[in-house]
Amino acid sequence: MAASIGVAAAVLLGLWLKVEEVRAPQELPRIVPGEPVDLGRVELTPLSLSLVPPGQEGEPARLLMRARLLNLTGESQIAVFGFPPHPPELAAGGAAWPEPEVILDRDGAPLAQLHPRLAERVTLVWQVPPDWRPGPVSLTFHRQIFKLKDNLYGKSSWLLFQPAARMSVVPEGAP
Amino acid sequence: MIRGGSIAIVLAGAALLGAMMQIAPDYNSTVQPFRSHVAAGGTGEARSFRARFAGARLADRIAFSRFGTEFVHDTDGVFLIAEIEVEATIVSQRIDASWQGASGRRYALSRRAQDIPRGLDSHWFQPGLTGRAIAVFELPPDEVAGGELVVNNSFTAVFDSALHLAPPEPAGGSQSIILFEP
Amino acid sequence: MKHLLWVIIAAVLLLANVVVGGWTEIADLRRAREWTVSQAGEAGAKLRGVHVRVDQVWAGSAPNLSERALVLVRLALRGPEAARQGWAGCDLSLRDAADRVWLPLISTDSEGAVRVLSPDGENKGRCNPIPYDAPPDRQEFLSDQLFLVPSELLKGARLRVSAWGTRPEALEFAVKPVLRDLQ
Repeated sequence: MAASIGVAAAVLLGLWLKVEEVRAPQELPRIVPGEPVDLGRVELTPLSLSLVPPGQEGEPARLLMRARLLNLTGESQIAVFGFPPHPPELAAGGAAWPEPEVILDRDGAPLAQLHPRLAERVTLVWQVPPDWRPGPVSLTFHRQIFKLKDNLYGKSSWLLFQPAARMSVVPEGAP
Repeated sequence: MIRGGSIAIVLAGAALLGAMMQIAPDYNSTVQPFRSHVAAGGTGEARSFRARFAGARLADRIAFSRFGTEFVHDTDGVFLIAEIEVEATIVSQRIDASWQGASGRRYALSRRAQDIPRGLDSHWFQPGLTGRAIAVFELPPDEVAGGELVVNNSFTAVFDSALHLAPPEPAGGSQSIILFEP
Repeated sequence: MKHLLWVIIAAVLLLANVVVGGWTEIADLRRAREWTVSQAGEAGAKLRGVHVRVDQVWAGSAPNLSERALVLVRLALRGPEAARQGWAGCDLSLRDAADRVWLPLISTDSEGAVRVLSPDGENKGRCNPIPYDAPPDRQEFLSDQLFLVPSELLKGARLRVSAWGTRPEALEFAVKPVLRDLQ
């Protein structure tokens, strides 16, 4: 009897907490360029956002975000934006854009790896959808949760992603 | 009286369980390779290979050519170039290396130096033949002294041997550029 | 009595679990191991409907690296297509008396070395029992694999041939390389 009451109470409490969470959605912290945000494995500091016209006729324009990435973990990371990758999500007018390409500025080549204590300048490159008219865009940064001892094996794991911060900005170079 | 006794038993049980939870080794410390430490210049014996840390150099930049294209890479830290001698003892195999820095952080083989001539990541070691390969790491300069080279089987490191090789000698000054030639 | 029934059901389910789990593990292990090895002569031998023969073996050393040798094994396969399907993923290895195992080289450099070692200057490609240009069922077709071994292995090595569909069965051949001068 006591056990049933206990279980029922726990379920109700859990439900209530969920309802409460949805009732008052937490406002994400707003950041501005230059402010670092913790994404779990890496710390990302957005530096600037700029619009680049197409190099050749027929190619889409590109939106570039220059940023600084620092590995916060104790080992070299291949999946800097977590796995599956959750790079900063860019949305304009409510529509999300496809994932950006991450370029290591030093090499002008895709970023393959990030070593601890070696911060790198990178450029995130989005292809601009043809129907987009220049204006403010919003970026959502996701943080992957790390648990030192997970509930299954007690081993350290990277788990769910949660939105960590949001940034609204008008890209430079927009006509 | 009986109630007091039951409470005591429950409390003792809880204390015992709590103590067991505290002292039981966690997953991360149980599922590990079998480490052996090897002094500078010595040859370490792993389950399926033996390896020696033959030489280390430091460079601010590295240069090599891949598929006919020249690459020059620079870094905010320093490139550590390790020469490793390996002989497989059971079957032809590849090995993987990482650098455990002075702070304990693990630096994987630099992917910016992938496909360099005689690079470790593409080298197969044969039984009965000692092969020499190059491992390139990119790391802050203060992680070099006091660090060690960790060498293990390239497929599974867990529950297999891992050799922790001390560097042969203080790697000395850093060269401005090192060119890798076939 | 009721309890006993539950205990028996639990025991049976546990046993079934162990049998099913163990069976898949053992099946996987059999696919990876060469347990039943049959010796084959120079005329070759048949395994699971495919006839396997060692066509030629050449070996060579560079003068300044005489302790190591390159061995090129040219293998001939013949069989009906249905049988060759079962031979997909054909694997070759060289072994010595102490059962050390040498696997074929797969780097891009080995391509050129094959052409140097084979007297006809050709590379027949790695063993693939179902090539796109398969000859008629009765005809043999060749494949080339290159090994890097210590020179002393040339005195007496054995070649193991098996495939995904044949293991744990495998064929073993004595290897007698023809030495070639690599000047």
